[in-house]
Amino acid sequence: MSKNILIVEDSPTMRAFISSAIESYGSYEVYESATGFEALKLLPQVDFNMIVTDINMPDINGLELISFVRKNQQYKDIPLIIISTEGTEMDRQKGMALGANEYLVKPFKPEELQGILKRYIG
Amino acid sequence: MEQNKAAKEFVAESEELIDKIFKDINEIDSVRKTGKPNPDTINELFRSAHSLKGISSMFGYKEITETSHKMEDLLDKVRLSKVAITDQLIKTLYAAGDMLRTMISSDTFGKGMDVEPLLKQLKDAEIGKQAEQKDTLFDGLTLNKDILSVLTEYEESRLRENIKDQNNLFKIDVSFSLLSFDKELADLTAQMKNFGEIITTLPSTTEAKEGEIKFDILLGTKVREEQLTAGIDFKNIKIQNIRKQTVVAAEEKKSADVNNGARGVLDETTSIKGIAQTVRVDISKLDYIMNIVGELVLSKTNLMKIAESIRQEIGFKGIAVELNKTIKDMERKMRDLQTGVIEIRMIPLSQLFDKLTRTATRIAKDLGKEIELEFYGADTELDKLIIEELTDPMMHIIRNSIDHGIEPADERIIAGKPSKGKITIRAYQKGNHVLIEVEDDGRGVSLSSVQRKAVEKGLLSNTAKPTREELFNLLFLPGFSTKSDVSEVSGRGVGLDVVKTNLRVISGMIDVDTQEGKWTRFTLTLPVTLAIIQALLIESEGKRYAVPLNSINESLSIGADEIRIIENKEVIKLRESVIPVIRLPRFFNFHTEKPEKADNYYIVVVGSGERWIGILADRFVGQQDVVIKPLGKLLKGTRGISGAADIGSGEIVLVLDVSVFIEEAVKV
Repeated sequence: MSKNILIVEDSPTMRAFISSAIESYGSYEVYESATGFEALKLLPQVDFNMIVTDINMPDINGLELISFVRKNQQYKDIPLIIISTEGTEMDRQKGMALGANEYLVKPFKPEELQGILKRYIG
Repeated sequence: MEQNKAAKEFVAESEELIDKIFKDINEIDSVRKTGKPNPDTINELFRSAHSLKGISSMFGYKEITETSHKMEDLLDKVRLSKVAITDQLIKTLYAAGDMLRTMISSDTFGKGMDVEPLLKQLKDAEIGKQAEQKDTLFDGLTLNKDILSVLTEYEESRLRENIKDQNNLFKIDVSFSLLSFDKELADLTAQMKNFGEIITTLPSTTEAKEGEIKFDILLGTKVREEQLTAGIDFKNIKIQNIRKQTVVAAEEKKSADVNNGARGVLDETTSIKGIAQTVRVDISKLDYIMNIVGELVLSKTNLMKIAESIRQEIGFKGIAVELNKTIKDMERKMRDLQTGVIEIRMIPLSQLFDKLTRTATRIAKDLGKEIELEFYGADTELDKLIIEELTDPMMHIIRNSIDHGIEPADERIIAGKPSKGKITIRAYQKGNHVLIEVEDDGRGVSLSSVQRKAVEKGLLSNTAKPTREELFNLLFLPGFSTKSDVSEVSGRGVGLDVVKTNLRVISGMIDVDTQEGKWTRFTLTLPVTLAIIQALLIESEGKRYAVPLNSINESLSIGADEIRIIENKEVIKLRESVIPVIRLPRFFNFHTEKPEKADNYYIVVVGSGERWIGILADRFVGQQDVVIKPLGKLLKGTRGISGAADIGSGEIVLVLDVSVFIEEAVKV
């Protein structure tokens, strides 16, 4: 069975970058959400093996998504990766405290994300 | 590795971001002259710079990354209220935007460009207010720790600013179905944004029912809880004030007491004075006052009649003169009172326009069309009741314009129009009326297809040669639609006839004009208020009627022989044109005694544009203020009557709905 990965990121460029990094690494099913709301709608419909999320987004922020996932019996064990940028250390720390597993700081190389994929879902 | 897709996205997205950056700087710059820029706009601007930095760094575009990074740093401080918005700052932001645009539009992506001076400028602009000390502002909140832990640094700073501005803070709990929450939540947040700033929206399913999702929304606002509850039209929401105001107030008072015993009290009263600039009043209370004003008007009329009999009895001297003077004085003050009360009921059209913008954007999105709305005269004021009744018809007209008027983008480009459709809404006052025009630059209405359709439906004969006016009027008949396909948005057989009926309730009229391929314009003519109107009382075959003065164009006296008969209809010649004449008892099917043949008649001419009609009267009784009361169930909906009015000494007359007669004019 293929592994499902959810990308939550409002920048189409970043979404394209992340999904091609994932798809070129192995056979994963990649789901893209441009907003937190889309992610909330997708969550009950697909069994995700990993979530990659941005923090600064227009509707609900990434921290709220992380908190939502971690508090929910159904999703609480899904590995969560934060994509963040320089200068948002405080938000990143909050995200890790809320239960994110890893973070990547832009700019990152595809290999860094692939390394994380390997460690968490193989 | 395959990164072509991402590279393609990069160019498109960065161009979009730069457009947005300029739009937001423009907005902040224009707003700051008159008030505080919207924190949402500043945050949006920050986010654009932030996104641009993120994506350009992924591709190694060093200069773009550095410039957007410095811009982001600067904007971060602005949105966290650490740097003030000054002329210098705006100038710097524009310079940075220009630089970014140049770099992205050049083929080499700005390689080799000297960005150092700009970077220094951006850095310099950062020096502003000092960073704040850790504060204890959040101590006064009854806020779950869970919520504080998910606020981003920016959201925390917005929370802090709201506390500093002495705003009320509410936590609003609401649950939605997991399947449809985004639309409903967008609706609710749009309503809440009218009251203040949404600081955060936190989802949770832990406390929600199966298949539902719960949101905690944090709102900072100037309004009080009861105003918020009354103003938000949404079921199943729980509003909780999270600011322990009493505690804060008590503490403040305590510290004031230490300094100066009396000052604490003084400060409190001055601050209350500061708040009480506006009062929100239930509209029914205003209706009540309006009614009393109406009754007073009647008492005054009765008083004038008494004065008149005294005058006839004793002549115009002594007490009669005194009484006359007093009544005249009273009349003036009464008029002031009336205008005063009417003014209180007036609200600007901007409230309606805001609503229309939201709906129009949603409809356009649903139909996959791009439109922009332009409003003029948003500060034009109308009676609140009229504005309320206006919402549906306006929505319908705009829906119509987007659906049938505005063409799809490709069609527009072929026609040599900008791909984005434009709807212009103009409101202005003209005498006692407010006119609202809704004009779209779409495909217009084809009059030949209106005629064809009318012939098909048997509304016109094959050989008829209808005028433009007559064809336009067909558009407002029930079930008339020239578009053969019924679309999801404005279809379902509900047409302009409903708009017309809705408008009639508020004595409004609608006209349309169009140029095929170019534009369509609807013009709504509305009374400023419905509450009290000046009316001309006329008598026809022994019955009295009130004709609203503001709808009368002119009145004249004619000889009986001037009424001619053409094609079985009574008409008169008015200057260059021939206009139809209507006899009210005949129109309403009243059984009146056959009147004696009179030598002279009076005519009230009403109408506009090409449509005119004369209402025949045996005599004019006089001019008077009347308060229009709605008709009872039995008479409700009678064509040609908009209500009844008490004209004093218990006599009730019918108030004519002139728009109906004007339509009759066309049928003739």
